[in-house]
Amino acid sequence: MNRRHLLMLGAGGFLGAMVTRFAREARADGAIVARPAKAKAMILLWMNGGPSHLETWDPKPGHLNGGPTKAIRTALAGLSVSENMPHLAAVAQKLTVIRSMSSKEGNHQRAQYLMHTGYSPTPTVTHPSLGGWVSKKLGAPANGLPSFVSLGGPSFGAGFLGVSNGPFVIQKAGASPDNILPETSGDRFARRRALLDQAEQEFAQRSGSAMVDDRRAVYARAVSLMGSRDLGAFDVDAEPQAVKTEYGDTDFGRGCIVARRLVSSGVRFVEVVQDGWDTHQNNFARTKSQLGIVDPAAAALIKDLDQRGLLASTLVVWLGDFGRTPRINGNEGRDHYPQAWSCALAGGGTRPGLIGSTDAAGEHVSTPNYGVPDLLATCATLMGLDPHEEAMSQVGRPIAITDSGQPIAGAIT
Amino acid sequence: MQIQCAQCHDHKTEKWKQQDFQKFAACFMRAQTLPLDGPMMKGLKRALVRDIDRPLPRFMREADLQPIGRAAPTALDGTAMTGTVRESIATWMTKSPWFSREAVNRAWAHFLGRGFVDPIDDIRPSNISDAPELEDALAKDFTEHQYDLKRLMRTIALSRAYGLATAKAPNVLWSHFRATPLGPNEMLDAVIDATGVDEALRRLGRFNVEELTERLRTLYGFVFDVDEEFDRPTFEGTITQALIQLNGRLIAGGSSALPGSAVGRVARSDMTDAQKVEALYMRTLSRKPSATELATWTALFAHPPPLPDPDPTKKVQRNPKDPLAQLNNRVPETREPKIAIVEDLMWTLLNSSEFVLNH
Repeated sequence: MNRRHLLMLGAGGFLGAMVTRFAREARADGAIVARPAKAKAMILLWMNGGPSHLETWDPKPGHLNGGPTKAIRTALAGLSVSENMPHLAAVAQKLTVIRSMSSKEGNHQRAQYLMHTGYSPTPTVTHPSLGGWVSKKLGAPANGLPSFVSLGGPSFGAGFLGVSNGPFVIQKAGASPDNILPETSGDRFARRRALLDQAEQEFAQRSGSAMVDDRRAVYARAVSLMGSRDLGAFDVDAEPQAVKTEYGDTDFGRGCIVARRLVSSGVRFVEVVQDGWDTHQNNFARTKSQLGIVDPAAAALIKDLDQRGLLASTLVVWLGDFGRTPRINGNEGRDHYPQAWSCALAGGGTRPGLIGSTDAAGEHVSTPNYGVPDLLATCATLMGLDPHEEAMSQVGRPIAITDSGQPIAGAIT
Repeated sequence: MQIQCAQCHDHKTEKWKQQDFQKFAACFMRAQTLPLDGPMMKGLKRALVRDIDRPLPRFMREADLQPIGRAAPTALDGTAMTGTVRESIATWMTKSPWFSREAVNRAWAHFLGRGFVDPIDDIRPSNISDAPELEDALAKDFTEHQYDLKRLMRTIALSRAYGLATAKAPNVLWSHFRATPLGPNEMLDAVIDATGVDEALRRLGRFNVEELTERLRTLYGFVFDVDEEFDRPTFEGTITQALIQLNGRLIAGGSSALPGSAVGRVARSDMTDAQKVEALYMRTLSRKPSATELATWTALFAHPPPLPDPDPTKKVQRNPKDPLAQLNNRVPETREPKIAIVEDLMWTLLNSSEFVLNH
């Protein structure tokens, strides 16, 4: 019995608790070293549309490309960020900010696919998102909650790993999932379930179809969710007003509260979506208003996780489609720019610090620079997954978690 | 047909060159869609498709698209596309020897769970048809009858292969039926047909049933979106799908004794208990209940469990996306134990794998 067998047997159960997850990591000398997982869960703060690096983590005041955006110093030595990020600036000693990210996909759909899966889209294979891999490898928690939840957006599915490993989508964070309560009162639902079980058993016998058991397993998961003692994790009603105020009275703020509640309840991967970053026009006012939502919420999340002792085991990642053109266009906007962008990580075994830079114009990244596969390999490694582990795709070709990504050494403790 | 490997390089195992891909893709850069409406009109947006004689400049600025834009539009067998490329490619496609086989293969896979060629879009010399003679015969018939899809579907539906039942034995060349989950449209139509919920909604008034059905179709299409290209031996489902079947308003409405619905009519009829059970089995599963099934349900009718008192604290689900959301407050839960059994029976049948899997 190897590690994988143990994991499969023990997913979410008793054995799972006994097995420490290890990711193998290749050193320069070729030796494989095992390292224990630091993170039990990951929260992806997804900035949909492509946030401008120059208005967030990599401002260029004083350069023509920088526009009116001013920079403020942060709690992390050497890091200045946009003046519209005071809350994140105050928790920056917890952050790993990478300013030398670079990719090749400048179209939203293709870039979003790349950021979620670590691969550029191809017609032959639907690659699993990292959330899908996490769900597949780490399994669902025993309390009936799903392993992968997306709040405020569809996220990306588990591709050839199957829809059962895809995201459980909540469109509007803060309320219970749709259709979670039975339409009938009292014990009528239990009675119906028992009658359905009987019908299913008989049909499984008669038809000999394995699909019946698969389907019953999906139903069982839905019913466990309905009855989960932790179902309230989806709800923000129980949170004190002070907490709600700190995160902000916004969908994204509520999403961040729910993300914290879900990972506290054993959910492995949560995506929280903030749309509206596609600032072709009026970039400066719009990024300011976006940050008015994202900055307090993301900072509150990091502080909150830290105060609860959860930050060490929860990896938080701030990421969007791509960067934006350093040259300001005729509409006071910035267009798509995958050549240079920034991302930020916190917790889960990350090493706080500033990695890489762009030139004075914000156009070119420093060497070494990093690609999306490297970033996802970093996240996978922190989560205890081997980024080079493969699974068989539907076309009979083995596909690894990332497209030859190498964990970013400086980002990991 | 799969030529995507040749997008980036000459195909490693098939005859396609990268140039073949580029020339074929070039056919699709000779048309332009111009939106005619600004905002959406009832979910539809009109657009004008215009033929153009060279690719749009904005595509030619993209490095990936330049080689395609420069290539001469050519069909896969080397036929040069002339005149209006759209017309030319449409003519070539329907004249192609692959055309009828492709249509027949897709229809067969749709009804029988696996195509002669699997996956269905992978027609090539080295992916051999499982039953070439049958596929050819169907393709020939399809061509000879002016590509009549209805005739093709009728032929397949009346075949012995389609009439077989699923079985435990290993499946060789469709020796048994392959259980296949109903697609979103079939599922929705089957639920509406079996429950008569549309008639009940009409009687309640204030519902535009046709519009509601279209909205339900969108919802079901989104939630039950499945990849039909591959033959899968396993059932793949999501928690969201199970929840919409267990607790969603359509199934709840369809299994309520609303006036005009199947449950409403059966529950308030003067049928015997056994006849009621049989009527709902016939409506949903198109078969009579087995002796055991009949015994289970008639026993419940004979001694219906008392209904719980309505729970005043019960939360009303607010799901604005559910097109039937308003139904919730309109219909109180039944207080009659025997009617409740008819409702439970319909709910059980609608949620059963026997209903949801074509078998």
